[in-house]
Amino acid sequence: MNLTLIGFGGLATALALVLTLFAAAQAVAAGRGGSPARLVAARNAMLAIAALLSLAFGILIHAFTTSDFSVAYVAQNSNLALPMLYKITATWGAHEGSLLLWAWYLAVLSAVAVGLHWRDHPLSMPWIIATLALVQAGFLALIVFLSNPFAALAPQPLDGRDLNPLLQDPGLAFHPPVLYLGYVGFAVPFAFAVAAMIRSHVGLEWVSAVRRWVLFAWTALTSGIIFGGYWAYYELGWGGYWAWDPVENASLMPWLTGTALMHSMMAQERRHMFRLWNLFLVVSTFLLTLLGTFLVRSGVLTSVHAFAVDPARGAYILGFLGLAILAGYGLLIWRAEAIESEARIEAPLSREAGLLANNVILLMAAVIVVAGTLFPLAVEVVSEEKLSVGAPYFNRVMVPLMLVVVMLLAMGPSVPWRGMPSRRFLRQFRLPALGGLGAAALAAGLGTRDALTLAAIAVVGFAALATLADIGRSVAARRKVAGCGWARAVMIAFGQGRRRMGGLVVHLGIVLIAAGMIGSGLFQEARTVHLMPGASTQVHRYTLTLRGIDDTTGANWQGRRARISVSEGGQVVAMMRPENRFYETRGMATTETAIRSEPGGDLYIFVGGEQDGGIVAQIYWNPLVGWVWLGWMVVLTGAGLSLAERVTRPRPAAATTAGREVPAE
Amino acid sequence: MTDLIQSVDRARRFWKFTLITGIAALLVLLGLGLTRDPSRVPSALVGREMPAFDLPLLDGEGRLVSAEAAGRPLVLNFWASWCVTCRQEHPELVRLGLAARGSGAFAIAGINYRDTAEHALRFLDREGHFPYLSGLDPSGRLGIDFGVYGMPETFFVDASGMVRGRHAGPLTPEVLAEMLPRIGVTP
Amino acid sequence: MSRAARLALLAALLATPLPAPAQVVSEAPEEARVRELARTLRCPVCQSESILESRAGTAQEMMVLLREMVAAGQGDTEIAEFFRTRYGDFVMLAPPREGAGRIIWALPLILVLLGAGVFAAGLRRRGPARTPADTVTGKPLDAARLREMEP
Repeated sequence: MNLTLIGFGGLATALALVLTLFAAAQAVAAGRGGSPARLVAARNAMLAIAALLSLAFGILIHAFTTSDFSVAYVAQNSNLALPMLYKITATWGAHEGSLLLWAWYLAVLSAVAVGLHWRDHPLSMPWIIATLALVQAGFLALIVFLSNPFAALAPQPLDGRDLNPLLQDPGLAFHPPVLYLGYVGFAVPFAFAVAAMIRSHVGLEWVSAVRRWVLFAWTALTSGIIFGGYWAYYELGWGGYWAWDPVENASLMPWLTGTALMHSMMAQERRHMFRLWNLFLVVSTFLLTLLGTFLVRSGVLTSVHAFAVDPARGAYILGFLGLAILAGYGLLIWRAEAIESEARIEAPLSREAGLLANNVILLMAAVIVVAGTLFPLAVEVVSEEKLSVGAPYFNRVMVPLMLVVVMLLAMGPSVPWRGMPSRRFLRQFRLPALGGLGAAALAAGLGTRDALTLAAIAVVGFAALATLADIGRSVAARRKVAGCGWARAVMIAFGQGRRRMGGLVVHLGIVLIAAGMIGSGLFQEARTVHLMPGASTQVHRYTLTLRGIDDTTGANWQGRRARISVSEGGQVVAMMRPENRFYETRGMATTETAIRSEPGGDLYIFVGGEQDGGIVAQIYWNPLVGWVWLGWMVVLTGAGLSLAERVTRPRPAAATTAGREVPAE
Repeated sequence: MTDLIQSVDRARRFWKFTLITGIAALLVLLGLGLTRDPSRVPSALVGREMPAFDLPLLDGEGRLVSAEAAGRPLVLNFWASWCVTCRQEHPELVRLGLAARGSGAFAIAGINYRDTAEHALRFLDREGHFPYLSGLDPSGRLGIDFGVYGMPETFFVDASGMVRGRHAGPLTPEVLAEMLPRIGVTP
Repeated sequence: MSRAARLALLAALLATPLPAPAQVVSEAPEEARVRELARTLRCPVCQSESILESRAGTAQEMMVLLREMVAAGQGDTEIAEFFRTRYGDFVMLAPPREGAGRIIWALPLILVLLGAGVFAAGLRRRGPARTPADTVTGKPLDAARLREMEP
């Protein structure tokens, strides 16, 4: 029974591949003046692909939950003793399954996009479908020919080789699924942009159609990156969450250009500016997601997160990337002549100028991340020398850039389009600026001497106050107009100005994240100590005492757990239990950190090993690190608010549709 | 930025040119990158004097001292019982050790790296003993002096004590044919 | 452990008087500097991790060595040079400021100049808009205001 089911999974994937080619051919024919029936056929093929891949993905999950080791991929990444949660998440725990997850997302998002925009964009639809179908074909061919998760294994082993212990964590349930949703989400705006370029209709149509898609993809990508950081934070045990590893950088590249895109699209919507630039950004963001895929899956770069290496896959993805670049940038260059901008920047103190600065800096940051990640490879290819571009470089270069971005983020929303008098500008930001400087002075008074740290504190203080003031002004204006109380004014402001208030809330979240990063990155306290049972050590305001070390076991591992009491002023406030585990099947050891969070920071214990009957522990006090996760929740709230904005969509005269609005909710 | 590209023709051409060359360079770079093994690291030791060592022997009394090899070319092999590819190169090392003993033209020695004597001896009992001495580097300290990053690694030192070559990975006749002449030994 | 069990344990702990700690261990005074240096050294056997983060044996041994060198009073450049002569530039997580490394260090400066140029050009070319609705409200550019815009 299982065997036929698995066979059907492989068949469904292969059939989906055939259908992508069919859909693309039909859509192109329809776009070139063929019968509308062809377009309907293409649409139906896209819906069928979504159904087939849902089935295939479901079958693969089923193979994992039933431990069907006749499937090679299951045998390599699962085990009878694996807890059920990890059996399910192991489905996307390695290369083949994660690609299938990717393709499934793309199929579902494509189907949703086709369904949502079918009536509003009839003339672009053929090209949108063709683009999405061809991108899907690229991924499905990789799956079917080079990375088939349904490949059989004979003879069937009695037990599987287990999931990589580092991945046996709830983090695997959240981080890749959300991150991939972000990556894949940018394919839809890309398809709209391609359609716009082919039709030479590069006006507002595509921009207003994809605004929500970009926001949705950006939110998912941001969440995925933050989840990854949080996972690394508690799993890897060095007290940090971002290491400037090539794979981390690969996810940051489209995030930077996607952030730039989200802002520059506003300039096109409001002022018909940056039209070519927006096309460039949307194409680049999509291509950077492909570049990231290549870097992670080809084995070109070394990374802790990289998938197993296979040069054939690398060559294939490179060819795919090359074709996508040729198509995307080729269209852009071909159409560049035809695109005229209609408006100009009128004043340096205007929203437009601020957005230009935002875009310039975010693009600089993206170039630095791409260049820094690939530079060691370039040097090696040219000179046979090997060097590293790691955290010390990126921190040095990126922190000042990001401070400028935070500065712009604080000012941008309250600078009007077309310009404002400089006197008003100065008046508006005087108090936040004083507040920021005050915060920096306070930090200096408390003993901080590093200039960059002080600058960071000033900028973040300024940004927080300016953004709050902005929100306050909006509420106050509503109150004045409506003549109501504050509570009611807040309701009105957030209810009616969802897009603007959502944006401000996102900004506030980013400021919180920045504050958390400054606190934990620059004010971390660390201790490395050898503790015997009964011995204590002091970290921050806590006394930590090793009470004992016990044996502990889990479903598929054995371990040692230290019991450490945390006391403050002679009172025990908590017990912390960092662990070391050994996973038999893979012969791998992992560590489980113990973390105690409070609003002011995290107490974080990592046990490196046992020595002379005691433990060697690294203990960190990470100030404000919780603000990073808190800031993420604020970002999510703001993005949700902005996505919930009522749509005012230009409708065809005879429109009868009640617009369904939010993609993939 | 759009404005810039549009009306200034020269600027437009400049951006197009930059984009196209940048992308082409990127693709070529990634293509070349596919042909290399990213985990390979060139040795910083080649062309420098061999670090001195004085280690206890794996088997029996006495010490393995670098000075004793002075005046003769030396092949120095880092190995460990926990290293899988070490098993693969084992017959080649035994053959090379017998050749060194037979001709006397060069010296050969092993360094047992981050291992225990017990495990190492059990490994040799199973795979066959080397016809030469091995020193013990249980902490891997000497490995750091040699810039060792993986197992196995083999260093080729000429008669004047200069490191002339380093091979990471299992030894093969092809590797020896390339490396031995560098230290004045005919393979 | 369930929340209830944890609370019960905590209560039991609070009820029993704490035995005086046998010994209060504080960190060796040079450890902060060791950490700073360790963050800049790449673990040679791992994939892009510093020796501080890495759990690999070689990285641990390099930490031991680093501690000895710091305790012996060696300077930062001396220590960096020690590892560089053994593992090459590869072991330094920050690229060298010489040779090929100069390119990557120069890149941010080049980008800042290029970005400033693009930004200035974008502003300088402001002028009458083509859509009739657009009117010129901008004042002539003056350097002081430009500086306000560029933080």
